[in-house]
Amino acid sequence: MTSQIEVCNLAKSFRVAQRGSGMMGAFGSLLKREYATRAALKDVSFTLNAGDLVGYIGPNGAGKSTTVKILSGILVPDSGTVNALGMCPWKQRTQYVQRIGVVFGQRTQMWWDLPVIDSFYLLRDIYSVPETQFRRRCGELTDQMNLGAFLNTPVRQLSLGERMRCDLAAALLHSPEVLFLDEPTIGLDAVSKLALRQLVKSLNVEHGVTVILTTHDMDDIEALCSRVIVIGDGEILSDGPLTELRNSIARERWLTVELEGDQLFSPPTNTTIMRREGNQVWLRYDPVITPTPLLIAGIAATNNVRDLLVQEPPIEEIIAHLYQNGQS
Amino acid sequence: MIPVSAARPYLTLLVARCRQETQYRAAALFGMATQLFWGLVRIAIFTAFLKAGANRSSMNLTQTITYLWLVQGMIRVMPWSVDADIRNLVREGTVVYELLRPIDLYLSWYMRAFARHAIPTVMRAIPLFVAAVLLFHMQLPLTVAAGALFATAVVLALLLAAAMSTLMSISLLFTLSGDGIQRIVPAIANFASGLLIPLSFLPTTLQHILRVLPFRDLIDTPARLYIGQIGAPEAAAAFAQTVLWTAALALFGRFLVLRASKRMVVHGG
Repeated sequence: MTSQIEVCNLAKSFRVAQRGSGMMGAFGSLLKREYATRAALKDVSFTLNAGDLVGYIGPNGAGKSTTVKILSGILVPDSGTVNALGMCPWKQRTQYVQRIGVVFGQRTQMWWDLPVIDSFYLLRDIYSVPETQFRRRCGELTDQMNLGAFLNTPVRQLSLGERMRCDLAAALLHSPEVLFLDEPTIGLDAVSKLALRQLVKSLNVEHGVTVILTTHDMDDIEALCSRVIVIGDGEILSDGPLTELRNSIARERWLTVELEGDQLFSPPTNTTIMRREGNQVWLRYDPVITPTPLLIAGIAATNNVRDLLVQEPPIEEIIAHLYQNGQS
Repeated sequence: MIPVSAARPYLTLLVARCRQETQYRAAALFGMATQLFWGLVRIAIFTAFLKAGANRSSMNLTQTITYLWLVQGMIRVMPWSVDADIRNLVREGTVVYELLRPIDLYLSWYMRAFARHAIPTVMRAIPLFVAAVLLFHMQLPLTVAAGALFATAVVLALLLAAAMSTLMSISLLFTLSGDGIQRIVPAIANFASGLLIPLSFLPTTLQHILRVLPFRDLIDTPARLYIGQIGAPEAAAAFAQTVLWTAALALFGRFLVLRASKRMVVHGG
């Protein structure tokens, strides 16, 4: 596989105007402006291959959107290089954006007053998509995303889920090779989220589109991404497959024990009780030190057990852990 | 020659914006009614003024009345406000999508601006001129040539106005609000274009200064061509000046866009 996007030592800082609050602050800022510099990206490097589906996650203000904006050519970094599709995004912007698609979940690129299909026609002309290719692509996307029912509805009257699907379709009309999705599932209900995920997955698998997905929804990541890049405070905290991420942070497992009746329960060695509610007990343990079969056998032998459930800790826990480590 | 395929995105944007502008038919109708009313008021004032024997200008009463109607009809040529759509794009940060298009940002905004001036002008001017000619003593052009020169001047005025208007939109990339520019530019343009007072009523020295500025080509030049105060030979020079100003403003606008896109920051996710 050839690398499609190479990011080297990217750094970007912003100047943020500082102003005291109230009247004094307002007058003060007329005389003397004070600025604080905030480093959004400190030193970010990674490489993506064609056909990758990568999750790019991090807490608010970590630099996710900044990275996406730089990679899509909107923002010029202070230092560092990007080689994407053989180009430098911000230097060859017009050529480059012809080959990428971007969806910002919080903003729409559709024309507010126009019916959806009219926005598609405008995009067809803006991206100079040949008519036959446009018709085929538009038909495919309409089917896949179920847009038929509201193609003639003005965008302002669409629900958020409908609008999001249209926005995704709009970003794909010109058959981009790389797709940037910045929080595409934000505010969507469960059904719309599932539909969107399925689409992204099939785009990636069937059309080989490289997808970079930023999100706060760990279910998006678990459902879609084979590889996860975690960024915190402008630096990359971790980069690798999801399983590796889990293991590197904590090999921890959770065991839920449901007891017959309200009996006493003492935790086996090398396990800790996380909490207890009535006849349910939550234990945390390391499966390498305490192998799961032995633990279960031990508990079943000494207690009157109704049910047992072994789980991996939810990915949120792992990420929260990682974020906290990154900050300290 | 620019290949047709390269021009397609811009023509599409132009047509789309034109279609959007034609939606505001009620606004055009009521706008026209307002302009008729103000036209009558202004004509009453100027008639009283001229009849009192205070006319030092080169225009007689009929020419003045016709000039005033032309002003009323062409009011939407004036670069009075920044494009509300672009203002919203900048305030909300949706302007990022504008940068994600594989087209020239300046040219696409220029197209919008042109449509924003051309369509309302046509929608208002034609019915207003018909009403003014039939009912309120507006003269038709004296010669076919004057009519043709006027039409050319209006097209050039619209191209110039679009360049000014685009510059105002671009200023949003630096100031975000656009409130300041929205007050200053119209104040200067209203006076310097002949919209407030026909320029030939102003002191000669002032006229000389205003003659070099671009604003007079928005209203005064087309109006004087219409009433026959500028003939064909001087028209060529006037047109050349309009085109030069338009080109200069456009180049400056493109330069600013380039600068802005290097330093622009859109905050937030």
